[in-house]
Amino acid sequence: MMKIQISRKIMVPLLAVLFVLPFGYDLYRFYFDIDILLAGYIAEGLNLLFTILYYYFLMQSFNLRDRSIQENLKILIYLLGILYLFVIVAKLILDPSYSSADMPPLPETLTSVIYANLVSVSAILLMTPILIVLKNLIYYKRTRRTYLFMCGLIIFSAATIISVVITRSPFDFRFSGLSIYNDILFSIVLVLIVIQSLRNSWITYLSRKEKISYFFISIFLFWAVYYLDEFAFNIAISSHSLAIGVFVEIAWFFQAIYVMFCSIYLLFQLPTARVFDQKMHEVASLRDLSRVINSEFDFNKLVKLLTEMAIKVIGAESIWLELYRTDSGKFYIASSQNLREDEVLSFGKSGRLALSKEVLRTGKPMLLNEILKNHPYAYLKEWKPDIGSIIGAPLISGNGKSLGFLFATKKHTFGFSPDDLAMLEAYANQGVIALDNAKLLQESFEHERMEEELRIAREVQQRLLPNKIPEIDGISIETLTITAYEVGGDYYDFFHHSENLLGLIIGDVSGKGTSAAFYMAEAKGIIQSLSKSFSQPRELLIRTNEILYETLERKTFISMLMACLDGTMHTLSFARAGHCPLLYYDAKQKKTQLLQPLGIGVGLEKGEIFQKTLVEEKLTYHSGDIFVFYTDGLSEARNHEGNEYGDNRLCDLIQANAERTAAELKDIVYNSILSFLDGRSLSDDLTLLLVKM
Amino acid sequence: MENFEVDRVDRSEISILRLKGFLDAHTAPNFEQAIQELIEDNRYKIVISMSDLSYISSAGLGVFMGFIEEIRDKNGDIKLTNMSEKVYKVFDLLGFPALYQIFKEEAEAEEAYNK
Repeated sequence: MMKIQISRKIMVPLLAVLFVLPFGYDLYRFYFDIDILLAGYIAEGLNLLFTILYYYFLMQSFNLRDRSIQENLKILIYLLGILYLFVIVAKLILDPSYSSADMPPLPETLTSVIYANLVSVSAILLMTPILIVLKNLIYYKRTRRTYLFMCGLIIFSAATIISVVITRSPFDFRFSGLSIYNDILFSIVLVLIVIQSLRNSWITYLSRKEKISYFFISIFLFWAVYYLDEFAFNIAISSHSLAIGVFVEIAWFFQAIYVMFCSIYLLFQLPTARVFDQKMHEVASLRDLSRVINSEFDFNKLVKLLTEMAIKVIGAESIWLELYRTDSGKFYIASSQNLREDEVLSFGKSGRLALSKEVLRTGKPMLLNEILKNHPYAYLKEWKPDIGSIIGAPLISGNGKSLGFLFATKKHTFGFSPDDLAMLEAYANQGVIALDNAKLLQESFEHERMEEELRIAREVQQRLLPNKIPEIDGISIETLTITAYEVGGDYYDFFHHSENLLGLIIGDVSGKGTSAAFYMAEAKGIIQSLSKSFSQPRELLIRTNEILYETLERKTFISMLMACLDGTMHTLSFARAGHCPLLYYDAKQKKTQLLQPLGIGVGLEKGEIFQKTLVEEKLTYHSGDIFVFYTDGLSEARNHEGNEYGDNRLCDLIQANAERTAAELKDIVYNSILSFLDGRSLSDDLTLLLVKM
Repeated sequence: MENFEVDRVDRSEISILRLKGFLDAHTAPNFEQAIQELIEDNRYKIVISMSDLSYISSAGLGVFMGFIEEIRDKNGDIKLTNMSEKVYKVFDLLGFPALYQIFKEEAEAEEAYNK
């Protein structure tokens, strides 16, 4: 398309000149009764130029392309109305008459000349926008072919115009003489018009109301257009200009045929309009719902919305969403519309779930047109007497499990169609998404909460462990802690009873996470304060158990190994309360043993048995002896084959490297455990205290 | 995730729970529920049979402690049987033999109840 930009300032005078020149020629021809062939062609040319320029003027000045169907139709009606009004007034005032014997026809009076010119110009002014509107309607959901046919229509219309102007004969479908060319060309134009008139898919998307009103409007429009030619244009325009005559004639045919086809199409669509409307409504509501589901995360709001929308679309009297609680195995109403409060409350009573169970069993939607007295679902009538018919659809999650149901009821029997059931199913499917979303969100919250808890637990644990290793002449102590992802309750501590009397403790709180960390804190506090008054391990443990038994949760206990190292006497006394054995390497005999005197865990029993079973042992150590205190994280350290690291492996390792310093031993043990795990992570904390004399 | 299962067998007054698989912090709630159900059914004479128990953690041991007081108050008991050597080591380490009666076979535990 050429882009000619002509400003409105020039365009309007230009159009005026193009109108006045042929008008002047008409007057001249009328007065002098002379027909100059060349001047006639020039006048026709000017008329065509006027039409084309006007078209560009319209396209430039008004936004005619991007309008809705309704707006297009309104414009069409207004334009036709104005045209009629103008022509009627002009005809009444000017009373034109023409001799139809000649071709082109001749005006018989001066007023006829004026009328011909006025009607011609008004036809161009109003028909051109009408054609644009028609084009817009045809181009609705257009295909490539639509565009090609439209181009063909314009080309053949132009050819017809030129042919008629040159041959100066009408197209009368006689297919004789010179008009045979006109007839052939015009026939092609007609065929193209019919083809284009079939392009009216915009009608499909009108609402039922619009379809009805447009049908009546189209009948009226058809007659209006039909008489327009007869009444106004017919001879008058041709007497002024054959070119405009043909243009208007083609435009008229186009309108009349298009409106006729629309009328027929509308008529055919009326019976299905209601269903189509409903389907459109259903699609729109599902679209709305899925949008809402993806933007709204409050589960209760979501299910409320779901039932609100479903009841409207399905046209049910009441609707409810029933969910299955996996923990209690019971059904409950998550959301409902038009159910009384007592109905919601009394719903879950036993014996009232036959229907739910049936839908749960089959996993398929079901429809009950009527509930008879002896029916297995007759209880529904007792629960809610105004149920005439009922439909139900299960909410089936991705893994095929039923999460619940969506039920809808109507007061009268046979109230639902299979379509309603399909729709209910679609809503049930949306409900599944809502449920899944809510669950995912819950899980992510949960996960975040757990991470936070773990972080706190780790922090507590880190703070509880002593930050300084005590120093005693001739004794070196090393500690090793490997933490698991979930914080275990491992704990160790030292306390100086006097300058050469060192207390050592290692413990493991049962369970994991925050609670284990806090019990560990509690134990540390108690032992720290008790150690001021008691130095002997057995006594200290008995007192600790007495206090902790009162505060620990019943299923929680702490295993502890307590030792007291006397640097002056070179003795180590120790007691074991349910903890892992004490590893002792005797440097003199070059022998490693696991010392496991009797004793039950702290917090298992209130005191009697604890005291009775707990044994304190005492041994004298020599230079080069090694003691290893450790937690059960060591025995739980597993490799790929599921084997445990185990006590014996540790014994062998210590024995083999007994000559090394404590610091070296620590590294050796650490590397040994790491290479044993071979990339696997620990499931429990692992703590080691190495004491070398 | 390792599996854990509890099977319950009722023999007159005595209920036997047979544990199978891994009993740790993650599976302990299943075991807890099984004992809870026994208590709800007023069955306090309990035998825990562990022939197929491959592992028990401190959280698993905690389950026994959580109920024993209530059960003994009701003149019941929890008796342990059929432990593998490995499982026994865990119980022994913590001193459970001082707190619970441990038998080799279920029948012995039943006999102990019937005395």
